[in-house]
Amino acid sequence: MFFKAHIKKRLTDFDLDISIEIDKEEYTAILGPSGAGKSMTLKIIAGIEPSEYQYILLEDINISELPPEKRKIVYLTQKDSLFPHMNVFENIIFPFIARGVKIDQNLLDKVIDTFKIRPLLHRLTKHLSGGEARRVALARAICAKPKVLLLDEPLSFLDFHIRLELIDFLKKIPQAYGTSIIHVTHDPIEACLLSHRIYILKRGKIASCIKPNLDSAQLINIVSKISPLIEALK
Amino acid sequence: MRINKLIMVTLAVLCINFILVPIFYLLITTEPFSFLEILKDKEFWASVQISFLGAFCSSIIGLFMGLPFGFLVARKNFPAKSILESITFLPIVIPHVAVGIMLLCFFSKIGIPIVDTVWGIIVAMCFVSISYSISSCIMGFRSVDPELEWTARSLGASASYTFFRITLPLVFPYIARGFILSFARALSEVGAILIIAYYPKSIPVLIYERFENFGLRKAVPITSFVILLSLFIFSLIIFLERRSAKNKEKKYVF
Repeated sequence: MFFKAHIKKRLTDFDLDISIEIDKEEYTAILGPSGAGKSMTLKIIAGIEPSEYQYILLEDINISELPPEKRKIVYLTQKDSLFPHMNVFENIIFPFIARGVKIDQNLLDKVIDTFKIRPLLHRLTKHLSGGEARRVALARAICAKPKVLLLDEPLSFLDFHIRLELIDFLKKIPQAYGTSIIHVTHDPIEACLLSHRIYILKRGKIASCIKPNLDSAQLINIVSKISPLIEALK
Repeated sequence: MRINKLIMVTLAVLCINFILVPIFYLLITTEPFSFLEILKDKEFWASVQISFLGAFCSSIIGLFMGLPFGFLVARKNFPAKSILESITFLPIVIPHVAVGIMLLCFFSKIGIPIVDTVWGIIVAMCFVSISYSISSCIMGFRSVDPELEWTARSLGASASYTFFRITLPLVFPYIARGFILSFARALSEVGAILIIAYYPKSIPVLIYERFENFGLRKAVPITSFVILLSLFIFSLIIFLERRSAKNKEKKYVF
């Protein structure tokens, strides 16, 4: 198995006890209501939040004792967390500079093109719209070359047509960059549209695991039916 | 409703005039020729040097002590945190002559000679102004969203790199504010300095001495000059701050 995590943490209302497995370049969703422990799970996997027990295997290496910067797992917060004192370009190259490695120009160009952020490069982050900021945050996360990318409600607080556009971007990431994704959400449609596997979380426990069978033809069908509405929203 | 508004505006005007009118009155009524005398007054320039040196050193020392404390209070949880935070405001509460006596007792006891030295002035200024540095640092660290720091760590930055490249630059405006406030507070200190170090004379001590020995006539020109100097320094700081903010915008936005 490419990635395996078993974590336990005592929370105020209930105990978090989760075990998940992910394949290489797989898009996984953790679906659950607010307060079910979804974000906490991601934070523990990323190494930001301490826990009573964690056993995390990435490519057969135990990374549970490593600090966040050594885990090769990037956690993207709900608020994007772009650095406000840097412009977009400085934000995107941050992962290279912070680790003291040479900027990978090919990767950088590819990321900039994938997420269509070339016109934004010299802007300060406070002048970005919600959708633009989310794209920049995703681009920056990918520049860190994560083996696993953790997304905390990446489509929340956005207009409908921007969410659809971002779903397109998100779908491309695993294959294009060789990254597995764990996407946390409370929206079942979002989870079905994007993921190969969905873990359903209830009060800190995995209630079930399903593999949605929504192929691209069905997706196009759904989108075409609602596209007049989307146009109207634009 | 209209009366309420009228009362509010009147009080606001009164408030700002309470600050401005005495300043302008003093500046307008000072004889122009007495200014020239001040410019030639060596004792005055020596006191300016002492005051600025003392205020600068004490503000820097205050920030060095205030930064780690501010970080701990803003970020970590430990017992009696709120009590410790309130203690930092004690220097504002204790009357400054009492501060002078207190510091004198303590430093004499531990055998460090501070009486009538620049060190004594720095110690006194530091004690009375450190609350401003500490509270600015606490505010600064509280203003930085910890999520930015997690994100930096997650993107591959070590803890120290994150502190120096993310946290500190975002806290810097608060540090600058703390420096300016404590510098201003230190510059105006007289009570504690009178007790600890009458010599070398700092500006407020010199003004006090001139007033005691020669009356208002001799004290007014120095006072006006000092007020002008303070106004000049603060306009300069505000101007530089605005300009740096503007430049940053121009560089990045188009």
